[in-house]
Amino acid sequence: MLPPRENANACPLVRVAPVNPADTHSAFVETHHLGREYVVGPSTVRALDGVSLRLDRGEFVAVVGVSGSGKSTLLHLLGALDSPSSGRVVVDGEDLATLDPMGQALFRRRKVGFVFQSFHLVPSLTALENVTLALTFQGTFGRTRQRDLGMAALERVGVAQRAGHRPSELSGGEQQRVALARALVHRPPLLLADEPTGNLDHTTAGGVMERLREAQQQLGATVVLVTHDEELARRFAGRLVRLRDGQVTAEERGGAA
Amino acid sequence: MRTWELIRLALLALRRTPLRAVLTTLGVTIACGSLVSMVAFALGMQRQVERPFTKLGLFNQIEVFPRKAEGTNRPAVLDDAALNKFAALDGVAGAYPQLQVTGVKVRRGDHEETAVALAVPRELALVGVIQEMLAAGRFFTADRPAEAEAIVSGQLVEDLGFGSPAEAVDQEVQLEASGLTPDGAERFQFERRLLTVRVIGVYTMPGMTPMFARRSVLLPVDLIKSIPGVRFQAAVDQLKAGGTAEDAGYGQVIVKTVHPRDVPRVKAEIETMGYRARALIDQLEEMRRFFVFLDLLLAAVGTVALVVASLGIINTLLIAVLERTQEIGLCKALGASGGDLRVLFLTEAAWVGAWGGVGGLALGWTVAKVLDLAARVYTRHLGVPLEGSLFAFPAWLLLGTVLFAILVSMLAGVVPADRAARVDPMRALRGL
Repeated sequence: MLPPRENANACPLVRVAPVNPADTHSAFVETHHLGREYVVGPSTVRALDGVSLRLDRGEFVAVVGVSGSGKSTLLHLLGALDSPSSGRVVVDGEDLATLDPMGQALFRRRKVGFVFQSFHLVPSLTALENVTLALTFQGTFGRTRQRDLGMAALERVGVAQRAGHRPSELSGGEQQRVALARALVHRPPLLLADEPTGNLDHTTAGGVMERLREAQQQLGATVVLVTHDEELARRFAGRLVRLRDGQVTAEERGGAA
Repeated sequence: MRTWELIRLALLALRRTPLRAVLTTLGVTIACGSLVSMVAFALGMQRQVERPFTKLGLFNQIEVFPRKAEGTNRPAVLDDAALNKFAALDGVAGAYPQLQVTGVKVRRGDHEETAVALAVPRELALVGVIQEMLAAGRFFTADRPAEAEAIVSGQLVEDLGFGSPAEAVDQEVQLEASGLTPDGAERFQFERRLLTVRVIGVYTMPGMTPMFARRSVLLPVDLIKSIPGVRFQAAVDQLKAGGTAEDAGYGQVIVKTVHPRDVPRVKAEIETMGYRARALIDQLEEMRRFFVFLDLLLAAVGTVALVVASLGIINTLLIAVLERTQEIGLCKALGASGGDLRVLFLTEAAWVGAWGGVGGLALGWTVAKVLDLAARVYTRHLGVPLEGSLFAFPAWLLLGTVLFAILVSMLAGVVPADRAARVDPMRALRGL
């Protein structure tokens, strides 16, 4: 039993919705008292401190907070890129703590799509090759099928005409769309976006977010968006989770709820 | 990850820094080139030394001598009956007496030369390689017994004033031989005999064979038996052992096996018959052992070069891991396992090894061709023309070099690949 948690830092105007284990409704993503500490020199930094969350399948959740609040750390733990110091993460009934490195790789390969602030496109590959790179590690599709799926993903985000271009030949918005296509190409049930609009101007950012929402609705994926842009978060997310000093301080409904 | 995907990704990664990849590959190329050319040289030298023996069929030859029988002083006689017994052994192609007469005068018009007359059986088609030695004409045939025919060495043909080997064929030359012939139990008679023979063939010998073999007249066994002095030594040996000169058989018999692998068994069987047998292949084992050591020594020198080149591979791949840390993190985020990345970097190393190995073969072959040409010009200048190449490139050397280069390169890639596998994706993606 996980007791409801009082939080001294909670904003008085928002409703805090901690995980209630008594709730029998099956969540797609659950975190239980998630904590992550880093040893930096002589001191220990607590990046996350007892975060308990539930995310339903197909839900669009934005995690907001200032820099250093633990947003990205939470995202990395949800994507099994990092392991918690305490607590646990359960995705689609799978406890990530039980996975060995190979199991974590398989989990990311099958269930997770990542979008990063700095795109992380491989400069020597074309847009299409960058997208199909995600399928390469699947090992299940032939080259033609990979190409078809890659083109479909690029079409979905509106940059199919740039398939043969290298990242240096694309604008920031186009690069992020290619990165989005790469995250979606294997149709993952969980999409983790870490400040995807952080390097884009407001208009371009809106366009990318539109594509993200469309894809989420088409694929029925659960989206966790980490951003410090609350306006953007409210506009596109169904729920906002506010983090401060590694703790969930509030939750509120977003504009897309 | 599929194999072809892996190979393609590794190639793409190498293409990203072409100059660095080419320079690293060049190091492997030079190392493999030196390795392959040195080993090819050792193998070529071994072939040069063995060529005359192979050509003469000496590797499947057993020399048989009389040996004193148990309880007696008299040696077992090597006569035609013994020859027939040897010929009937399994794996034996034929047996004939080793007869030779030195100081035979060969005349043609005003020309007179001294040569060695050697016996060869008319059936010596059994030594198939002899056909390759014929520069002109033909070999003896069993269907023309008692013909006064001879096969003359190319050197002798030249000394007798023939313009070419072909010119000597079907020409007659005169042989004059003299010596002691047994006459009764303990008596010898001096005889001189003139013999006119028709040259039916001219043979050439590999450059490294003894001079007497390059200046000889080959006569059929039946013909050489009639030359004075041919059985003198065997008769003396028989007399010394307490026998009579009339009992003398042959001093030495040559037994040819079908295949060199038959030699040890046939040799053992002949020894159990009471004769002393000697196989040239036994004596050549020592020489072969020397060449094995030489091969290993030169291969070791080449391997040192390859190991040095592998340091370049380690350096290149370690830099690649550093430069591509974020990309490695990305790959992990996309689902690549540590094993996938380890294999990816090992494949990159294998590509360098494969290209370096193939390039090394081309380099080694080119170097060998140049050196071979230079050696050919030099030896021709010295009047001892080379037969065959100084370098040998058997298939196992070509394949083995490439595989060895790939193996060494992959070993060099182990540490960088392991580093790539252990990259923390979170830190990598954050650019830490």
